[in-house]
Amino acid sequence: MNRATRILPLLLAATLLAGCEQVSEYTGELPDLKLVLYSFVRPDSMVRVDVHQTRYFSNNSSELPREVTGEVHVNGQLAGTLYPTPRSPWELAVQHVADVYPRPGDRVRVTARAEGMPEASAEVTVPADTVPIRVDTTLLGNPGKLERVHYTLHINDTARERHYYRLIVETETYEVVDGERYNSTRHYAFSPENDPLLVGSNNTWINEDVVPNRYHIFTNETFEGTGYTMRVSAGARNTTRFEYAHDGQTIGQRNVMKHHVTVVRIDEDTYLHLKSLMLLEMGEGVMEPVQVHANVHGGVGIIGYAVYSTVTFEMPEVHVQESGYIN
Amino acid sequence: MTKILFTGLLLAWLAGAATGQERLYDFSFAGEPVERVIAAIERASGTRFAYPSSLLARFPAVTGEFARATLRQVLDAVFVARGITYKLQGDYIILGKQRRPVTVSGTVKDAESRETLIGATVYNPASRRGTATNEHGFYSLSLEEEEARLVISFVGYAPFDLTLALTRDTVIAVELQPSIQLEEVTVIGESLSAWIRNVQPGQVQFPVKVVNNLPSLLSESDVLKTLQLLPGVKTGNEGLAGLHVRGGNADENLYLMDGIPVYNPSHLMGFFSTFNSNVIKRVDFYKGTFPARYGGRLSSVVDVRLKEGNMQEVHGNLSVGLLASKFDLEGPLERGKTSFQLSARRTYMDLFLPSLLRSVTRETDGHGWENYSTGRYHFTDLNAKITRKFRGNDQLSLSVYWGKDYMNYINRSRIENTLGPVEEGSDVSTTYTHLSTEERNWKWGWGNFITLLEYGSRVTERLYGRYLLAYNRYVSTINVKIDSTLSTRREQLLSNYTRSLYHSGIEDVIAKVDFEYNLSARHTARFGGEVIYHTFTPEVSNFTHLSTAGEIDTLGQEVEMKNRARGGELSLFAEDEIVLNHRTRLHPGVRLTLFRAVDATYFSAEPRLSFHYAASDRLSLKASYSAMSQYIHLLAFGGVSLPSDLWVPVTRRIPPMRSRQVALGIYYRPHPGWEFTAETYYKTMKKQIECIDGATILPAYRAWEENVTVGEGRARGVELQLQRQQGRTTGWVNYTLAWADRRFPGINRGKRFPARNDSRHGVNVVVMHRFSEAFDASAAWVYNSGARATIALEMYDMPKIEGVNDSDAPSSPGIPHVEYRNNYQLPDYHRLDASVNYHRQKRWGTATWSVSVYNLYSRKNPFFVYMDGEVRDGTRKSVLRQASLFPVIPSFAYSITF
Repeated sequence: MNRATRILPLLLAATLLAGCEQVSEYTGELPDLKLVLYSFVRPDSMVRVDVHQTRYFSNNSSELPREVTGEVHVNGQLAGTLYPTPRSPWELAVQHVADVYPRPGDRVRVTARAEGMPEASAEVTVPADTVPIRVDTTLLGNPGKLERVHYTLHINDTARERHYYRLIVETETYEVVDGERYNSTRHYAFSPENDPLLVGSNNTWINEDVVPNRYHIFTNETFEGTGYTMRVSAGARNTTRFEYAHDGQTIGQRNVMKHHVTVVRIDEDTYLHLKSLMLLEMGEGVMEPVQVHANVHGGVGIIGYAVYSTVTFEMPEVHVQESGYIN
Repeated sequence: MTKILFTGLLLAWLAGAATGQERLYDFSFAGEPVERVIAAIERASGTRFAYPSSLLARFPAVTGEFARATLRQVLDAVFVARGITYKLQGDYIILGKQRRPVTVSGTVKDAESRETLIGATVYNPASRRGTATNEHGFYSLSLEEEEARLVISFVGYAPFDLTLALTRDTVIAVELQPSIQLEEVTVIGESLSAWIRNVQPGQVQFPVKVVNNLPSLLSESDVLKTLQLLPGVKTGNEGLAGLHVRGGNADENLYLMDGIPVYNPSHLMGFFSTFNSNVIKRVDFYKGTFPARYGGRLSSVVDVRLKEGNMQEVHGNLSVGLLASKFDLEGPLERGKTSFQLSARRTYMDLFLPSLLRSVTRETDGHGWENYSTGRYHFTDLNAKITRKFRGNDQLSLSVYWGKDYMNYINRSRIENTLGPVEEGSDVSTTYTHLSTEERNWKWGWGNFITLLEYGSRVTERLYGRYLLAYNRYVSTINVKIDSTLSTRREQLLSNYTRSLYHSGIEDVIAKVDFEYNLSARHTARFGGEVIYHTFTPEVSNFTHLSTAGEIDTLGQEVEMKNRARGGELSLFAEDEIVLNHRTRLHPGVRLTLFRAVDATYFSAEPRLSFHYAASDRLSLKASYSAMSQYIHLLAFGGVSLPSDLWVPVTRRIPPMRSRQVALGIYYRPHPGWEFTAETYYKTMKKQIECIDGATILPAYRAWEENVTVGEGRARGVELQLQRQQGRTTGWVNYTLAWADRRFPGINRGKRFPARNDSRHGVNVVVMHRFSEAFDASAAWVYNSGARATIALEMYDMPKIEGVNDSDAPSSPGIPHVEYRNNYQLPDYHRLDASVNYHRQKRWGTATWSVSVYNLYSRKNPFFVYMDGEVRDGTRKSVLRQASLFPVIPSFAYSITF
């Protein structure tokens, strides 16, 4: 249970007798609206920046900034300009791209401006090295039951400095109907198996509805200069049968196709940003809002880096019988 | 005949080179009467002697040889060696009796209770020298051997005037008669006793009577609330704990109860203080100058001394109020030698709060669903002290303080579903009744426990020693249980039990010695040291989850965490109050501290200096410099100071905090009973800690150092105060103009930002009027320009973060964006409190009715504010939501004093 839900009921008891709330229209000064920039630079990949803007509390939905322009500088030199890509109606931001492919060790600066808003910029240095990981697997479970694959990740971090990471386990699935594959999907559910680095900062509190470490971020504080072994698991096979209503006969099955186990090395600003997002989501701002970390000058958001180390496991295909059990 | 041995030849040879051109004389005396010696000197030097005839009545015959000696050498040898002083004044040599320094010492007590008085003034008008009694009522004053007049005075007592012939060190025990006739207090230069007396810049002393006479919240007088009416002192949020003194943080104040630190000085998060005003003897408050005997905090020292108990008779007080009651009892266990003091308080909001909350929160749909909340709160505290006095001003006391706050909040819900009937022809029972219950129970308790053994001893007439051994503990415990069941009428189908227990605190074992040494008429030294062994338990927690399905128990999870740290602190101090002349005093001092933490050792040398110049009997100027260090931090959450905040020691990564403060003051008494003070200060604070953006200090102690950043703060200001100390109407009005800011790497991009307590203007007006012996009233008006808060004035949409399922994405409307820390100035804070007291004298004592009103005009002062959107007149607008805590709160109390 987070601190807010511990303390709020107690404060509520105290305020019930005598407290009250006043609401008044805010007539004070409002700050200028700002650009919101999000970009996680990947080595040897195109620079992509999501751009939108802040809004006041009087606006339910945000508008998109107008006349957005921007540049990408690499090592102090202009390397490219930002141009927008087509945006889907459900997306809140417009993704801008620049034909720039930073290399490990490059210092990348992203600058953007829009009509009526101050210029926003931030800089990040892409790390020169990646962190090698090795993944071992163990398949556990009983035939016919939900099976899980247990992964043992060995992170070899020999640097004598603080590093920041995320763990992403992505599952690709598909449906098989009459031997044909359909509806390939991706999801990110996995079990951290109580690994202390992944579970969260406090595992002795009741926390019913909120995943403590939603973004599965961690640092090398406990293994700086050495390495770390982490164990997680993900569902390997889903034997749920489903029947198509139109014929009542056809039997399908959802199979796991692949697991992509990725250790993402991120910068400190991104780490702090994600950490503060989690605090915000957990409702930690009892009397003051959680100040979500940002590194964009003149604006809001994060320009960081993300260096991926991915290992992919492809699951064997299975066949379903009429009984619905696995061969 | 007594031969006087001369060293004149040697002196003459030595001094001849030094004195250069001074006239030299040759004398030879062989058993000459002193009159002839005087005549010879007069003839040779052309001077004239003047002296009382009785002075040389028994002077012995003089024998000696002087060759090429100066006049001074001759006079030194003939007269000084025999205890006669001389003064050269033109052509005259004036002889006088050499006065030997003698020491007058003793204790000052209340004539009725025999309780010692702290800070009573003992003053000699002729020499303009004086001193004050120490914590055990002991004083020591060096005077010259003569007939001396002493004036002993203390506020609330009739002064005591005596004249005596001092020929040797003398012990005088004085008993002062209590008096309510304050007009009798006499102004005697620096010895004026006043309601509020400033001895050094930024130091305030006041008797507990001031505390008891001021209006109070829920009729509970409170020393911390009184301090908040002084210039330069601000509170935290409305009703919550913490003093912010001269721009400092709430954890930078040292609260002492008989010399022992109190880690949480408040009940109910600041509504009441830990200090029961019925047992307080005296309060010393330091905010600018800190004598070297104090250390460990940056911003202020609140030194509270408790009563010892009446040595003569049993007395008591019982007070019954609207929401709290207290009683105290004091008296002799052995008359004149051993006394006891016992006092207790308890609130009883828990008697009616549960049913009130339940009735207010109960919801039901009339079809089996019910939900309600209930809760309770109370605090209890107990002070007990036994004091034994021995011959020679020695005394031994054993005292205990125990205080506990308890808060409980329960939420219960119940759903009863009756299902059925099932299909016709079925042989299954036609209805099913399922009952689902859930209870969430939060319990929160916190409190201090202090026990100390103190021995005070008059080692000599000039040296007094205090020896102290103490144990001090502060604990906060949070216990959360969630219990849910699913059952039918016949059996329990499923149950889940989750319990989380969290415990944090700090324990100290303390040994202290403290000596006060009257070195001479001009030097009063104080020196000593203390050793503290700290045990920090920032987090001990236990989590258990148990599921039961049918008859099968499944222990889902059990996790235990223990974090402990230990630290040792050794401090030595020395200070000296130096009387340079009758107008000028200097008070230098130094405090040395060695702190050993888990992974680091720190040392500090803290110089202290204060200077006092009395330009006249009415006007004095003071200046001071203080360096302070603090080795423990209080990790507080987002500006809210709560009892569950963690005390943690410094580490290798988080060094001690340091402050330096310079203060200047002018003190002027335009008229007897009136005093005007003006002080200005400048303070720097280094190595303060602050939560970094995006971090919060949860009770999880692990990795707390990564959640804070180390930076600095500054504060400066001017404080003006005019007070009236005598007459039927007394009180004060003060004004503070102050600035406070902070700068931390990682916050606001390293730029300076206003401190939370950066409230530019502060005004306090306090009036106390005594209409008659039976009726008195008081009022206090407090004003502070708005403090600072961090609020978001704009927001932006949550970004899509890779690696999270869309279904798991939070449903938050957006991310509030804060421009910079403490960006918003809250509305001004002001309130008016008033109280009236009606006293009736009875045969057995006094009965008093007290009626008080807190926040008389129901000002809705901000507790916290936040921005939101709301549709008004068909248009969505930005609105400010402000939660306020206390509207007008009347209260009454009935007390009897016997």
